[in-house]
Amino acid sequence: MVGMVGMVGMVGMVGMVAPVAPASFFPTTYRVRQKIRESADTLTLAIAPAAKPAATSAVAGQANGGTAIGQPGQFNMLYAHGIGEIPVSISGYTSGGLTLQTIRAVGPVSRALTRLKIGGQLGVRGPFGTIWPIQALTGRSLIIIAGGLGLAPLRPAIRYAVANLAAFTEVTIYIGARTPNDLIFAHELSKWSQLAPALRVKIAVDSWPSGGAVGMPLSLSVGMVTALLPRRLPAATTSALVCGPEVMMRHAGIDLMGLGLSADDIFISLERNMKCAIGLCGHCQLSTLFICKDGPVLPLARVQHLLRTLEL
Amino acid sequence: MNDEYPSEKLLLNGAYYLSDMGFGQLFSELQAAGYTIIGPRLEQSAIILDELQSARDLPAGWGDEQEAGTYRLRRRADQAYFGYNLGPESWKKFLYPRRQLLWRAQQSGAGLEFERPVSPPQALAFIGVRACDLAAIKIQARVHQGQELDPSLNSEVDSSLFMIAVNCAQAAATCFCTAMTTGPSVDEHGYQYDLALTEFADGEDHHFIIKGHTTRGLALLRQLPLQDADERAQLAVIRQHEATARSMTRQLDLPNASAFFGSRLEHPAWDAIADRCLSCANCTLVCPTCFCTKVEDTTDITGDHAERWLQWDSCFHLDFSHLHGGSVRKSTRSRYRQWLTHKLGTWFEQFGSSGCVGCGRCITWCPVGIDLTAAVIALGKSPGSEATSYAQD
Amino acid sequence: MHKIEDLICIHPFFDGLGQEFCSFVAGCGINRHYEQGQYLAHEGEGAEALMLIRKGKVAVETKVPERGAVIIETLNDGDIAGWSWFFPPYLWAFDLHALTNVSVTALDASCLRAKCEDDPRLGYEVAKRLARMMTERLKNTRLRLLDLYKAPLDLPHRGP
Repeated sequence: MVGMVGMVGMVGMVGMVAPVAPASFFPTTYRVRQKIRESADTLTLAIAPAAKPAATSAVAGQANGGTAIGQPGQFNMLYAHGIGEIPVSISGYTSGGLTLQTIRAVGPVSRALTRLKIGGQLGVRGPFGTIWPIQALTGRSLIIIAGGLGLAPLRPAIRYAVANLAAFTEVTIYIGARTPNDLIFAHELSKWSQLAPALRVKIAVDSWPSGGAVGMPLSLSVGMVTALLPRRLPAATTSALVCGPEVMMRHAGIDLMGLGLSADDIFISLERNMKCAIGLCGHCQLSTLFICKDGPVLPLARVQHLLRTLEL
Repeated sequence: MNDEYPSEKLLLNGAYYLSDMGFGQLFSELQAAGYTIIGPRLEQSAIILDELQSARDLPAGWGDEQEAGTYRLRRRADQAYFGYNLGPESWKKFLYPRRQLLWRAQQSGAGLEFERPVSPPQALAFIGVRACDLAAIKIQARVHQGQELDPSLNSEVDSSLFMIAVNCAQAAATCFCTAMTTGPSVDEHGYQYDLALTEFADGEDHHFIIKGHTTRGLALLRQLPLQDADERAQLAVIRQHEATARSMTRQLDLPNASAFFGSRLEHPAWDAIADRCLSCANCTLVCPTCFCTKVEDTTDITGDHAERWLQWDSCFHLDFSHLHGGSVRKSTRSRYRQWLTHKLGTWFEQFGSSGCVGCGRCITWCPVGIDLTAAVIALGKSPGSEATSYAQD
Repeated sequence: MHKIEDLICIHPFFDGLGQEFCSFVAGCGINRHYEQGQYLAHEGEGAEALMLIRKGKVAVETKVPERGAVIIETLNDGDIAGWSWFFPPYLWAFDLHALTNVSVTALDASCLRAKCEDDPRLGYEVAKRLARMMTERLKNTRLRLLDLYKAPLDLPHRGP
């Protein structure tokens, strides 16, 4: 007699046609605790699991009625009820353990998420993806280049650097934005600026609103963010983390390599269409890479030739 | 019960003679053991895979003729149960069904709740699994169990599935399992299955040579009226394999697939193919290793109840690579390139083998008859030579 | 107080030029200081000097009706202000506005052009450096033209 095996676990368990969503397909209910407006179209949601955790523990990797703590560079999949799910980088954690997700409202799901009220609920899966290797870069000089919303996935790495400044030779953060009104995390940018000279912040905007220089902070430039890079730097002991539009990251890579950095020491974060976030649905593929699990953070050396082929 | 063959005498992987009648009994034994039997059936001018109640449900006496963009059934002179090759469906229809409910969500005063669906398990027996499909099942199991390249990783098919493999007595013109070293014999590649059948239907004596490959398979064999398979019978099996193998003509020669495709991403052959490709996604639907899925979020009219369904998807769809108000792969050319370079190239780095098993379904079921073996040949020619214009004879 | 020729030699624009050339051109040079808010140049006026910005921030501006003085780009320590002095009709294309106190070493344009004609090796060095700087500015301008940070078009499609 053939024994009947009870059905648990993975989708795709061959033979037993009773697929059930594996744990990583199944969302946890989270609640919005705070909303922070960053710019006209960008908002940060501070969220926490809706259910009380059984025991208090913030150990990374344990799901306490919620998802595990994400490392810098990782993302969660956020589900807006009935509408859909999108990948959103974790832009930090509050001291109280709330997860910060910075969202730009550009489609139906992102708009629905930004319209959630305090107390509103969403589904969260994650964290997923590879991380900014910042802990491995202690002892080096660090260049961080953030273009537009690229500052959000970089913020956890920057916060780590800020908390461990003595571990790095020097840290410089270059931030590019369309206009000054599009700069996000403004309050935190000022705090970081006060950490000079151990940490320097340089900001460039594509354009300054009319009215000339009235009100322009001294730390702000008008121009391409990479034009702020120094003419010389200790390339052999410098690493870079870059995040922003793909074209910007490509050219930042060229500029950094022009200054002598190796492509192995430059890390970027890529985006692709994601559905499952666990390397099963196939949507996020770029050549051999699944951006959801081989990325999103990748060394430039591994992808620069891929980024130069259109429609790959 | 088999008086002539005390069950202790049955050997694992020993070859035994099974009559036509005995073959019919195989079905009742499986059903008695609680299995739902899935196998080939003739429906609407094609041989598809569906539930079978008995051997009479098999397409006995039918054969097929296949070429690029062509599929025809024809009557055979004999009553062979497996005298055809592959139809448009593959076993992924049952292993990774086209639509699966992932979860339900409920929005109420209490908040947003997610609920996992529970469905009763069903014990399945697959009958008529060809060597190429055994390879495909193994590949898909590997994909779904995590993509570590550790060769010692257990990527075995779940053992509760009962599988009866069948050796192909003929090859379709579109078959190229020999080129992909996945067949035609089910014996040679470490495949998992319980029983293997080789059918002989051309003479007066319609019979099978059957082998038990697992102890569970042997247990079922013990219920069947078997006879000794003499040397001549066993030789006939080998001859059949050889004849089937010899009849395949299509080749796929890709010793270093990554390098081959990596240096040909802008080769003019892609344009020639793109001119013909309709981006209809048939190839991905019929391919036994394609695994891409999408999710569909639905709600009822109140908006309170939502469901998330996992569904088959295809990299040929325009919105497959949708990002930021556009798709990364807008052109048909880029989507065909993605499919081919993934299936034959980058699959190696991801999963440790080729994604292609040489079943030929994509060639048969392409409405414009694109043949990936011809595509590879065209890509192998240097750009600028006339031969890169992808020609379909 | 540094000598003009030393200030020239340490300025990034003349990086690697060699003491001989620095001394050669030093005679064209004079140090200038601008207060915050002053203009180093006005659009349409004679571009009479190559200005090496030693310290300070300078805005390249143009007046646009209904928008006021629009800042096109800001220049910092180590940059040079403009290249209009090198090409006829030698007129500034934009305003140059000191956003902070600014210290420059100004090399008189006719003097420098004459020396470049006299000594083609110097001329070639200057032309190379100008070309390099202009390609950098052009590349950055082109990238800014792509408007990469703009929100993507919300086109109708299936899915998020």
